[in-house]
Amino acid sequence: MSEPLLSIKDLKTYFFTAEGVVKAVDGVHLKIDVGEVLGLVGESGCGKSTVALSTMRLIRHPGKIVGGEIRFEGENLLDKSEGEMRKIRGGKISIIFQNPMSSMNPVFTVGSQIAEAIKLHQNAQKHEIKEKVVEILDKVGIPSPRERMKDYPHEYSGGMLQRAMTAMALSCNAKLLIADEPTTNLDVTIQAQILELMKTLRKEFDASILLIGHDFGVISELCDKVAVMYAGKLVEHADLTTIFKEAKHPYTQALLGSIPRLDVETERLRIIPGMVPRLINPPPRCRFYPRCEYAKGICSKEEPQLIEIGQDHSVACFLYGSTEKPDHQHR
Amino acid sequence: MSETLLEVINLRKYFPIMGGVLLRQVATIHAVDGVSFSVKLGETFGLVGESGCGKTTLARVILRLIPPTAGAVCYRGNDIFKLSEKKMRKLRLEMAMVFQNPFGSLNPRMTIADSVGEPLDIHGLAKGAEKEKRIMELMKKVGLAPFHIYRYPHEFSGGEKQRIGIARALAGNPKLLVADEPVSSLDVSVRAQILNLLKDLQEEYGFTYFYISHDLSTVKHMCDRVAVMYLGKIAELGPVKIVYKSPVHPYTEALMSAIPIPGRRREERIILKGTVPTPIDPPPGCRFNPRCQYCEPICAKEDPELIEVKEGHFVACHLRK
Amino acid sequence: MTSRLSAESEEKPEEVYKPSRATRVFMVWRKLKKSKLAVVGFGTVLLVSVVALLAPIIAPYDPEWRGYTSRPPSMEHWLGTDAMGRDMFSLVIYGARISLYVGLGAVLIEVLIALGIGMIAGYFGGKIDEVLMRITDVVLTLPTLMLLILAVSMFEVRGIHIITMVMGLLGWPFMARVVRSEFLSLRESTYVEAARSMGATSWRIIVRHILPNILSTIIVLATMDIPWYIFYEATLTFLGFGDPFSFSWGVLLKKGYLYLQTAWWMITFPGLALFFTSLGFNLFGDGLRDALDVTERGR
Repeated sequence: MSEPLLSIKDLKTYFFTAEGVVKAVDGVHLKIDVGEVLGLVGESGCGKSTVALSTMRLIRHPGKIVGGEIRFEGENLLDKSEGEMRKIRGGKISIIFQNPMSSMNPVFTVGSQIAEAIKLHQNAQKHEIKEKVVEILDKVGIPSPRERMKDYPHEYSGGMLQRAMTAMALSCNAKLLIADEPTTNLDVTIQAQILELMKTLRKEFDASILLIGHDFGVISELCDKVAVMYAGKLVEHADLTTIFKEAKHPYTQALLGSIPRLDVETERLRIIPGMVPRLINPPPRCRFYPRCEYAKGICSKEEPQLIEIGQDHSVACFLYGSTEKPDHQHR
Repeated sequence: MSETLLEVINLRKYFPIMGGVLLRQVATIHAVDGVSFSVKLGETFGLVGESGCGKTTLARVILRLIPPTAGAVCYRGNDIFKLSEKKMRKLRLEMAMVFQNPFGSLNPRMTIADSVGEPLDIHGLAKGAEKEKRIMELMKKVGLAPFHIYRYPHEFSGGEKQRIGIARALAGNPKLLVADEPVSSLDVSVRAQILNLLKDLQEEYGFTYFYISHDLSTVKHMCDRVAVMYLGKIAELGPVKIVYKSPVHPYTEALMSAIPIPGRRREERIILKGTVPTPIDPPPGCRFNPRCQYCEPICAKEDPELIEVKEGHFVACHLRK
Repeated sequence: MTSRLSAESEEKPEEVYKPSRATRVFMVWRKLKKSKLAVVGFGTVLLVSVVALLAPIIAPYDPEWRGYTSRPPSMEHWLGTDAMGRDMFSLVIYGARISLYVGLGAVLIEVLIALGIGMIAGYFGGKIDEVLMRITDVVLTLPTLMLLILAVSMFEVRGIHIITMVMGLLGWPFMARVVRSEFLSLRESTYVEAARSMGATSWRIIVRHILPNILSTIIVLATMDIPWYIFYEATLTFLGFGDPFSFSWGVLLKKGYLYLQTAWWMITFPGLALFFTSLGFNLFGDGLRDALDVTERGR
């Protein structure tokens, strides 16, 4: 079993605000193997984007990575200097964001921005760079790339920009591509295009992908494994089929039950009562406790740890690995 | 046996594009280009389409928030564009709208009570204590405690704000509710609450829903019939189950195959080439022609009509008749 | 466990949390208190206003009283006397009255006209907007000094009132533009659309929906315009276009200027008063902007 490409252990990223310490990411373990696609699922505020930014060491004041380690290709990224990180960012680890229009500088042409990325991470001559840009744009299916590279971001549609961004991210031989909700703002048919593109490029560049999102359908299209986050903690981690067929954590189950499905007939959708908790000074208990229908005594007193309950399947829940019976009277 | 509540007849809405030194009209946006359909009393009618297809414009023309370029919209048999301002204002009580952005649709400087009670104010339906009572009833109906009605929108969460928007829509006892992407900006777990609420309310009050969305799964869950829009025209219209299971129009086909299904990886998908063209001065012929995988010469020449291929199932395509 | 807002029981009577107007003002005050500078500003504004209001009670001497001329600050005359023997302290106090009157008066005229024109131009757009904006442009080009002279010679009114009116009548375009652009953008808000879909009339939308949302901007602008007009009046006076019969700080400055080297107290104290009042208003206006804004942005 070779070493994983990315291994995050006990990552803690806190935001020190005037109102208190927001524990946005509170002890998260993740790993991605070479060539694997991991989906990180959760609702807004659960900390998944913070995990991505922490991996890239892009967390700014008042946020701070206060603990844990992030091992990439065997080295702890948290030990690296800013200069070393800059070489890695955009090079070995690339990130694309939700809204491509705001990730691109509106006053520079698309071609020049891709060229800048290439210049930073590869040694190439000026004319070589230009050819590379054309090659990249062509690869992602932008028509007439030689002319389009002189266009500005606002002259591209959302889908085309996202394709260009994906190309830019992978162009510098990225080993790991982090995609933070890349298709959330796009139409369904464009989304399909982007996902197909990512599948193709991933095979070609043999890259791993950390796909962050809240749409289970999108996750299913691309991912081999899925990790579910809730309120700053990782609650379940399993491969794709297991998550959908045998989800064990109550939150995962409830989440899957609350989305309208094309393949399943549902009269009423399952709702999760209550609200997502505030992450400021959370009490030491399972974060999902107030909304869980299977909660029992210990859930309100201790935080469950992530334990392996099967082949590549881990859960953080006291229903598993503990002997107490669930207390159905809870409410 | 249900009567028609709303009938849209050959509706067109064009926007002029001004340009040049003298600011003449240089081009036209064909936002809605000849749309016809009818909505039956008590049903939930869905309108799906991707961005730029004109569904938002269509909703606004139907509610007479913007004037049409041509065509008619008949509510209970009367063309609303022929009504006087006064009559139209009264009619607005019966046609309420729920908006996409829960934060933007509530005036941040007005208390919830003021917002929810506004239909009552505008039409003089209730005053003072009676108005307050009615507002509190509405809040309870949408699942919110009346205790907080004098608070401001920013003190509520997204899901709660959307409920408030629904309460406001209910204030005038509407018969037709137009919902424009009511859950798109909400968290996944909150969506379920709102969708269940909408269904419950329909059961209790017997509303007719006009449900607009780009989220196909939600539309399938909520609607009885659905119309698929592309570039200002309806490509296909029919009962939800049939359109989703066996789509006839090539665009609908591609749309349905593009939807990712949780838990399954699609092997065979129709990936459309290119992007959605702009609705500016469209060329003659079928709008979907440039991206269609089945297109034939006739498709570039003539615009296909919406024809009934099976009972209640309409398609606008030359090749699938 | 249910959300704090879910409806559960049928308890009667229905309890409602209804904060009174006083509570709301109190909440704005609390936010204002957070900035020390704003509090200083507010204190200054309060001080000047009280002084202006209670001038006859506070001033030790009647401003017209003549005593020994050009006396430096002493026990009897805390700030000295001016060239005609009037007590500087009393002059500065009464000067506050005049200057504040000028500032408030001009701002009042400015706000009323700007609101009216900006509202209509911004909301209705089209031809009306074009016409109103052209009028605004014309007003901007009118020469202040000439109009001042014209007005003074035409009307049998005290110069200080003319100045106030002319300043207000010529100063509204700036605020009108702001009002107009706010209306233009807020007109497209979803809640305005919602109101129209309910059948609201244009008037209702303007007054109940858009106006309250721009009120805080206008209040802040107006607050910061008051010192501007006080200064402007002082400038006009200094240039010789003031009202020599009043004793606004501007007039005091002009008169004291001649004695800068011999009797420094005649220009210094009015100058300081003007300076600190301006500063106070500006700080207050700044703080007010933040205090009023927070209600919109929430937590």
